[in-house]
Amino acid sequence: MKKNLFFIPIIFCLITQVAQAQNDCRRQPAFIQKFGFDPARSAVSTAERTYMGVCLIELADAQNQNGKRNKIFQHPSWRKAGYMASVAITEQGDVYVIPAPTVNILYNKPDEQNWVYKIDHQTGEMNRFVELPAAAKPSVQNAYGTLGSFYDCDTHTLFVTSVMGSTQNDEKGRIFAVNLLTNKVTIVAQNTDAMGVCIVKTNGKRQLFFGKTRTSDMYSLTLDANNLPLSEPTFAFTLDNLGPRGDDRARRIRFTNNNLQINAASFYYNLTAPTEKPETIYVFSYDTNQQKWRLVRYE
Amino acid sequence: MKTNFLILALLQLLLIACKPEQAAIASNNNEPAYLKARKQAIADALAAPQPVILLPLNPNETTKANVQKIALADKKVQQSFRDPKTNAPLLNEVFGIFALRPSDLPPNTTICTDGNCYRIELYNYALNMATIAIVNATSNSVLTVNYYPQQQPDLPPHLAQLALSIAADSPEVQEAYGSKPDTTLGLMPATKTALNRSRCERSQHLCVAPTFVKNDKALWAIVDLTALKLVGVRWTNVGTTGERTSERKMQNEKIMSCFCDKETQLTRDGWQMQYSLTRSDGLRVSQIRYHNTPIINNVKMVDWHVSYSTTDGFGYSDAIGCPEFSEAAVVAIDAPKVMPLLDNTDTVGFAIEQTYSSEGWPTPCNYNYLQRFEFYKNGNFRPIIASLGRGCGNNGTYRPVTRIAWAGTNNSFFEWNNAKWQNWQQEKWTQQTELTTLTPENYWAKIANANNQGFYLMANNGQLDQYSRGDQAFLYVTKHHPNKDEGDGDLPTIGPCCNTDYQQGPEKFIDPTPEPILDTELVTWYVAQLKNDDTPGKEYCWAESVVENGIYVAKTYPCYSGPMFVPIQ
Repeated sequence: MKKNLFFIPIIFCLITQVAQAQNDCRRQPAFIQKFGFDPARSAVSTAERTYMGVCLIELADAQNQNGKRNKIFQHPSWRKAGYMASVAITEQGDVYVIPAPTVNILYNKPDEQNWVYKIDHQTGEMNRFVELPAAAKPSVQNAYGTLGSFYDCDTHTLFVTSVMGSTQNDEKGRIFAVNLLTNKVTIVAQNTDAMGVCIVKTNGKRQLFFGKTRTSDMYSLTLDANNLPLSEPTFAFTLDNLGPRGDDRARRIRFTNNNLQINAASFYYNLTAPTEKPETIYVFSYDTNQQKWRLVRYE
Repeated sequence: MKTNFLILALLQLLLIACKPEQAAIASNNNEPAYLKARKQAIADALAAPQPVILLPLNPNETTKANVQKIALADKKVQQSFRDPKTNAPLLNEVFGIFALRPSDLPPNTTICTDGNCYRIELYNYALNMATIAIVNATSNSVLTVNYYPQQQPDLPPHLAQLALSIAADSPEVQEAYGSKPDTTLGLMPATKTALNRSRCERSQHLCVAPTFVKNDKALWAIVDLTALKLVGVRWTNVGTTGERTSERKMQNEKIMSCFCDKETQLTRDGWQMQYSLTRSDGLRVSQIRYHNTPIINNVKMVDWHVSYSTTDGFGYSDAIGCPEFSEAAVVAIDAPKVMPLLDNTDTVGFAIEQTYSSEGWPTPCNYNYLQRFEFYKNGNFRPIIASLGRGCGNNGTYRPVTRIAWAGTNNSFFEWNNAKWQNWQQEKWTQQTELTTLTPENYWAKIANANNQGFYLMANNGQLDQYSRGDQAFLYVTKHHPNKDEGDGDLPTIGPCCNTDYQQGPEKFIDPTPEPILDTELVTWYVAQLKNDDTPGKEYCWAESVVENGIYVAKTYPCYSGPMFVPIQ
């Protein structure tokens, strides 16, 4: 199981001829030093074994995410939302985290799974930031709400995917754009269950890539400057039948070195333990001649 | 979107045969000759110094024969031939030997400049791994060896034919197809496409999918070439090119379509009932009658609490249930099974079984659970909950929570205490300890109506079956509220992993103000406590991977829990 880590020291700064990643502005939260951690070796993690919620970790070896932790810190407020999933950090160093149940719903009440939480970059205090409007109430068929997030520096917007209210026969998920300057929430896509999400700027166009959760397909749609969709979601490529399992869903998508890097694992809307979900990283590049995405490698 | 899913669900119902599984007694009497030959080839290979089934070659293929010999003599190729702990042989097979093409080598490579090199592909059945070596037939040397975990080389023709024969001879295929399919009609059983489109994600075995076309539909038959059996069949529309099926997909589709929230009626040995798989409470058996007398409204398994003693507060609170769209952490991977209960050769009743498994079981931190409901011809019944290991450590305690909602509106509960039946006046709990007194028949409690009709609860002190060592159970009794959901519907997780006392969840329906429970509708909750053990010779709630016939299989040491209910005569 790959750890769900977000390393503050790593900055994606990838300006290329074709495309540009949109998450290249992250700044270290001030609370790292305040809590006595070495910024060069520290990370915000939501996947520390025996810890629920958000952790600040300091690694013995900054290059080895799965290696020894020198120390782990949890602010008292970092446990209050139960188990957490994706982490996004802004140019101010504010940390936005979203909840997702792990193994059971004892600490993650289903009707509270569409809240986005903010950890203040100065104080380290975590508080509810905004509740995303779900299309339907959760049921015993689906304990999940938010699943993935991505911060777009250009528009100061946090993109969040949610499957709240979806059932076996009803796809009710949404993709949201939350403007962090105005707190305004825009629904970018409806009736769409997705997990990983990423913005890629291509030849001046802003494209939102997302990975579906009912299939292994990747879709994209074009957004305007206000994050309103200019097109319907269109199929981009698929992870179907790739990798060691063949049915992975994109959990995290990032654009680096002109490639889409996709962390993917199985997902069947149940609560199987993360230890059961080995993750594979797929790298795709865009073939401009064929005008389609091609698998470069997976590991 | 909603319409599409409804159509899809309807289509799946049409394409999947919904039948509960009947446990079969294995018989090798009618085993076809090709299976006997295959098993003999495996046995011969495992008895040889190198546990490898060689690629059959024509007498004139002397160079390939030499390549095969050179490769198998190489230490690096041999690296995965034996289990590192026990030295037991692991089954390997040579799938192909091909003359190396320039395109097989990286650009500007310096190896194999004489052009007389071969690529030999082996498959390791135990590790589900491909090994590819490049051999120089001029220098008689192995140039490179690479391992590819979870990958399989292309099948040789004889294995493709074996898969086709297993599929065509299986009763499931013949029943679905309407007759024994002509194996010459099998579509590309050995092609890359067919191989890629069928995986056994759960068993991690070598699987392929021979496909038989009938009219506008194609019957996919997934064949497990490691276990030499059919995994399942599924109809697909011929037009839907690219539609892929696999072991997990096939298993999940059948469970979701046939048993998840879908009731199956069962009448047998004087009993009537229905059962279905829930989203978080395991298999629920309901509307249980014995000779037409209502006995139980429903019985189900609410939570598994697993705690590890060396780390305070470390453990898991797991639900079991449907494999998709559920709150289950450990999911059903096959259909419920109905089987006879035998006492020697006499059938004394029947059992319904449902298993749940983590994907990686029996590796550490993965779980396997069993629900087994036993119904006897004499009116006894026993809800069994079992763990088959292995979990995250050898210091774990399992606490499964079972809920039984009794039929009848004027029941009362009695506990055997001080040599008499003491009637509980209000909701409460008790615990089975060394001090618990039982009747000579091992009865601990009884649930009875005003006419003393009902059931004794026989305590499990390990006497009820070979897999029990006693339950040390917590027992709770609560009032059933027809107009208030206290567990009639799917219950969310009701208790944390690691409480060691009575606070396992059911107490929430008692506290803070216990209600009277005389002559009313009752619910009993039963929480066994099972301590695992990995001590050699004393294993309990445990599982190990062992090598058997050249592949890894799970060796289980189950721990069964659950009382026996005996009719009051």
